[in-house]
Amino acid sequence: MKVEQETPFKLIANCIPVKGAKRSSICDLHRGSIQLIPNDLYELIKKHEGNTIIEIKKEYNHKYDTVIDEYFEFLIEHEFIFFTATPELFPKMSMEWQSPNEITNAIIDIGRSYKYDIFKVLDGLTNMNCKHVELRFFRKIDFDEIETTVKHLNTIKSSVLSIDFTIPFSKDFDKKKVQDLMYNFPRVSSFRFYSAPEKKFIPPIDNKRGYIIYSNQVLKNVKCCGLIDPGLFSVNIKTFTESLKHNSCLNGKISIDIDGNIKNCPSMKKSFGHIDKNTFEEVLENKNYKEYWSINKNQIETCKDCEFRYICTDCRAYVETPKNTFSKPLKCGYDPYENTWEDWDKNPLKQEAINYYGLEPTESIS
Amino acid sequence: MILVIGDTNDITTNIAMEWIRHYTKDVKRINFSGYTPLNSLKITNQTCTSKIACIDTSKVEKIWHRRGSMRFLPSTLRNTTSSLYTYLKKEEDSLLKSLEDILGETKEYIGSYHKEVENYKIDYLLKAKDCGIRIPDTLITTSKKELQSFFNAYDQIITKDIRYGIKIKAQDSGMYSAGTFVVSEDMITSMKEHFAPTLVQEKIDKKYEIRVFFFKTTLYPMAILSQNDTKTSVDYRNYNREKPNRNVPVLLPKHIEQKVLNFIKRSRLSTGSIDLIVDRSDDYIFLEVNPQGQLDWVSKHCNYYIEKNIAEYLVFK
Amino acid sequence: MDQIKKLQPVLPLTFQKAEIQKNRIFKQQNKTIAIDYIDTDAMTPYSFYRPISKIFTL
Repeated sequence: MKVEQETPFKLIANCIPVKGAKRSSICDLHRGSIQLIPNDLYELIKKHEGNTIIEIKKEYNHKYDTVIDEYFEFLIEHEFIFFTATPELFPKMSMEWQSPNEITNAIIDIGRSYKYDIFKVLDGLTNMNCKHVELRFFRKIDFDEIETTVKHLNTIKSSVLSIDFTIPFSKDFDKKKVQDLMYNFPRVSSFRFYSAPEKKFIPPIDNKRGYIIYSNQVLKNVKCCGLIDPGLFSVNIKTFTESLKHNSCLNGKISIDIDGNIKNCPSMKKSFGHIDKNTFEEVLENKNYKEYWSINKNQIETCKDCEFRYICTDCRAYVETPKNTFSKPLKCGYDPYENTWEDWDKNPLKQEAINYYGLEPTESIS
Repeated sequence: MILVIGDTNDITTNIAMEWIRHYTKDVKRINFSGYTPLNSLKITNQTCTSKIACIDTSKVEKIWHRRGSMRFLPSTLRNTTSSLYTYLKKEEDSLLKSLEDILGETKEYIGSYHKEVENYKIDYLLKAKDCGIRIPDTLITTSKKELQSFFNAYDQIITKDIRYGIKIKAQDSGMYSAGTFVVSEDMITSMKEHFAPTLVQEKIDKKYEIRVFFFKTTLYPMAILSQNDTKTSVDYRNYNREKPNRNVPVLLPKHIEQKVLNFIKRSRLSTGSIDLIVDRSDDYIFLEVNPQGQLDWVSKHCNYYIEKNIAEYLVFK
Repeated sequence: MDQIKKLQPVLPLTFQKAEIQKNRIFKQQNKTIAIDYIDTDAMTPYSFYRPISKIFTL
């Protein structure tokens, strides 16, 4: 595409500029990528979309022609804009987010302290039409136990479409065995091994799904959760639209901690019932259960000024000021006012909260 | 009761089923890849009743025929010798068409097997033209002379199938259509004086394409902006990076929208997908319609929630 | 196929660019799953659109 000076420009509807305190981003929800832009360019797009370049240059009395040309070359390079004589025919994309199921995702934690029936949990999630589950083991687990669990989902023709396993590395999980399991049971979307001898990523084979991650990180307990990291950004229409009005971690989530308590998330204190005594339906009837579901990034301190706010997923379990519901996630090391990333656990201002939650420094196997 | 005819691995059927089940339990689904027992289609002098897959059809209020069809031939017959299977399919085909007509008499039947298998491009071109929508000049001929003079009359011409894509299977290989392509002078030269019926059309220089999925009278248009960008295509950094065409929501100008709605009405289509192109002078040109056209990508890229709207229509209207 | 090639001058123009493909050696089909509540016995599953928990980064 060429720059057309005399034809109005229009932004691609699923490429959305998001303004931050010091710079902005363009979230390419179509191709799943993000580009950073100066706030000046953000303003230019907002103010002038539908105008021609000639008109824009004139508006600024031709003082910034070179900059404007550069901006447009950038927008065209990434195909964020196109030129059309009929801009009125290209509407904005709807920002609606809807889900047919109240519960969309679940975390199930399994540890040493208490033994509950995983089958019963999966049956319960299937009753709720839950589609995505993550199972995290904080104890040793053997391959057969995993296989039995996955087979159960097939037997009950479960609504669960994807299941991710986070488990301590052990020799029992031979790579070939794991890949075969993922092939035979396509519900399994990943295996993440922690405390592994080396870091490694094994992509899915033959365009099928199912990947393996090995990490040398040691995951002792739920306190290791809540990381905020560009690697966890999620650039797509669903996440973006959901984040506008809902919490991007807890919305639609149900969890069970290692003691069998039913919670918003295993890292949170409040329990709304117990897996051996209550059903998920009962828990959802509790008015307070969904309290966090609507806390969105427009309300959260610091995040509300961040250019990544609708593609980054939130954490309400660990926040900078534990008493403040709208406090910034503790484990985020990004400063949108300075555009700098630092290690969150080294920040002196965060030490009080780190002590409050009893977080330990991250440990790795060397 | 709502009856959905779709397929097991059709993403649209699956998403719509989630929404229908969100609103009601009173839904039954028949999958194309499975076998559908036809319990009875009973016609007496007083009544006409049917029971399919143990569903008493008198209880069905709306049918959404999303994809494929019912399949009454037991799966053991699917691998029988081709001429036997061809015969059985022909019998089944006539039964399916009659059944669709019978069910359509007493309930709302949205979507159609009949329309899908008899999707004759030429008929629809004429209907579109009659509704005042521009169409590409088209020639169907068996004569080289006619073909040559049509070729001479336009900047460029294209050819495509009249109805069916080429699918010829031999022992170790198969031959398949390459889709629409530009016809060269050499191609014409290589032809004999008389040949099998061939369809050619003037090539329209397009600004962008529009895919209009429609369900009843609701239109969901999406523009496909293809990048004729020589700069990025020679840019080595992009040599293996997929840069899919941009797909964005678009509006049809009111007068075009009205013509499209007229076309849908005149074609007696309750759902489908229409291919339009917008040329350099902002004219809208009708290419074809697919009665069981895809909508997943339209719904996804434009955030239209088409499956949800379909479910709501089936359950509440 | 050779026979068809020979006939090309009397076949529809669409045959001029028809593609010949070797019959693929029986390609292992992706396995599918059954889901009771939406009444499908063979669908291709997919993952959630955002991270469920954030205990793991790469």
